[in-house]
Amino acid sequence: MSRGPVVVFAWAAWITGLTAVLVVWRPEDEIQWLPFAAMSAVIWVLGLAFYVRRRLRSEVRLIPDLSPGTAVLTLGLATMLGAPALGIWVALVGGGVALFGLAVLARELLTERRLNR
Amino acid sequence: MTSVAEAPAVRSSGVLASLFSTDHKRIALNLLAVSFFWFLLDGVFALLMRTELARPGMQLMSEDTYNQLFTEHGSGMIFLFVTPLALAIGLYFVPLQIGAAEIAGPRFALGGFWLIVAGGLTMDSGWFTAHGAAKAGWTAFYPLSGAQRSPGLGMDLWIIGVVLATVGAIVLAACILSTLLRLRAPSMTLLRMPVFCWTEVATCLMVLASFPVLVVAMVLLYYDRHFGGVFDTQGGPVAYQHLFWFYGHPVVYVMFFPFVGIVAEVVAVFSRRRFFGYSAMVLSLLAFAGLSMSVWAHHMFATGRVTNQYFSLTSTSLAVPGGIEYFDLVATMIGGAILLRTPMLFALGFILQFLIGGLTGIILGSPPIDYHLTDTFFVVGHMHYVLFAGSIFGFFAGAYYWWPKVFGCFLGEGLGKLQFALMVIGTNLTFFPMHILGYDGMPRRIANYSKHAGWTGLNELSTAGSYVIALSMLVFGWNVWRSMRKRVAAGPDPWEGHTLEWATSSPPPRHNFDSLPPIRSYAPLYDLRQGES
Repeated sequence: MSRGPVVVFAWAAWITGLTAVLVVWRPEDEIQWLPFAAMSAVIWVLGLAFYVRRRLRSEVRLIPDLSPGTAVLTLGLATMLGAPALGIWVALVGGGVALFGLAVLARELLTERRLNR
Repeated sequence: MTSVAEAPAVRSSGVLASLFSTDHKRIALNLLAVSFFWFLLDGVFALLMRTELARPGMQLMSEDTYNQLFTEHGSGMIFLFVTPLALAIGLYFVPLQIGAAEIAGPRFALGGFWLIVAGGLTMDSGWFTAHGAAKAGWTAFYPLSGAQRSPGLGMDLWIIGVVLATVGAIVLAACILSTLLRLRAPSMTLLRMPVFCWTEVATCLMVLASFPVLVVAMVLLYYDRHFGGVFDTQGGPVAYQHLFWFYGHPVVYVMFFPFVGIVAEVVAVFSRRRFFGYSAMVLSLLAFAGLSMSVWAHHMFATGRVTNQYFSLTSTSLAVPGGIEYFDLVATMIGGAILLRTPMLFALGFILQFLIGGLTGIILGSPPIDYHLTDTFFVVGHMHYVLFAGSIFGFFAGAYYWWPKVFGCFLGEGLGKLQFALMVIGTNLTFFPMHILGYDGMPRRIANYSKHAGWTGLNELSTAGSYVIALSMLVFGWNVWRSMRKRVAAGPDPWEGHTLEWATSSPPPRHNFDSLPPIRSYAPLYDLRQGES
């Protein structure tokens, strides 16, 4: 069992303390402490996520040495993000590339599942 | 010796294959290469700016081009060089130092790398648009970055590029943190992790907590540029600054902590001593990281719209954990048998020069002094002492220290020392005069100044220094080329290292270890050697 989440919880508590001081100092200035408080909450949630998955994984999972699907999918999605600036055609090209990447990735994952069974 | 699970047999080679590799070492090397490319490109931008500033009047370029250059220089160095560099080093060495066979979420790590590449290309593609690249500075303050004052595609592409690179960094940080917290070797408890790993814990926590805020700020800025109504309101520009600096200050520590970790490893190994004050260092790192999240508004003292007392108090408090770290580094050396090899020289350079950056930071943390110095060259000098004189010296300490592990051969010692000497001279010649210029009132982000201001001499000195830095980079390039051609074989543990990466072959195999030595502290190989003697 890993004690890793303790680090995240301790850090979240420290940040929450610092936020509390700022809130007490100037409660009327929400623009200052609201993002800080939201971030403290995010770190607590992060700690919780690590706590839920706290079991250490000791074995090596067989995954392919290469994953072109991941790279193509990422580049496709990144290209799509350019659409608001460059036009709809960029979204179409990026979408096509992302779909192709997704198909390759799905094939990789199926092979991986077969290998790990 | 603990046995590690058997690795899959499939191996691949070739340039294209390396770009799709799920091996954390390959991804990290690709990220290092890409970030170094941006370092060189943005370094050339810096040389052009320094050349322009050497004399009063406009010699080389228009003021508009100068604005684009300093924007792309700052953005490139922060979003595409130092941040990815800090994460790439963690991506390579964290699994090795904790005895893990792989990184958590290798596909996500590969995706993170490609997001950073896409972000960089998008950001720099602004140069080829009608209005040119973004010109609102790396901070993109509103209303300077609004549609009215920064029209054209360049600014939009910059925003999209920043979002992509930032999301890439978040994904990489999540992978590294998960590895640290979930994939440690069975006897590698939290308090047996090397100092470098703890610096990566602090770094990744800060990335995961603060970087999403930048993504939000950029999305809102993009929306405002096209539809309005977000920041063009009463208090909108200050709200933007809050969001930006909420990311903008922690990122300084993201770009600094991993290099403190490298320097700590180097200082211990080349002093032939166990690292002094390990627990205090770990606590101070986490406290430092937490405090650094609470100081963002010291960049906004001059707006008159922030709680100066609180932010001044937290900013000045940073000196306490900083002081503990310095004490530990110096105490490790005391009584040690110090070996002045190139990695140690760079580590010492880091310790001495970063101190200047840290002390000027305390000066800027005081609101009355900040009112005088804000937006002057003093701030530019301070920032470069932290990031260049500090982090980049730390990076080169790591480069010379870990080169034998990564490539199986040494970098030349003579050329290394020459590079170090040139870098020390160049760095101090370039950045120290900036403090005096700033104190004297020279504003940052100007392409021209009056010949009667009395700033010409110091600017000439600073420009000469920047060319010495460029020369030192050529020496490094020459050293790399020569070492790869001559290849002086290093063996698995040429420095008598303390941590687990030195317990495997150089370069390490696909799944890192065939077997692990017993782990009883944060310096398992040091323990082993002590036990033998």
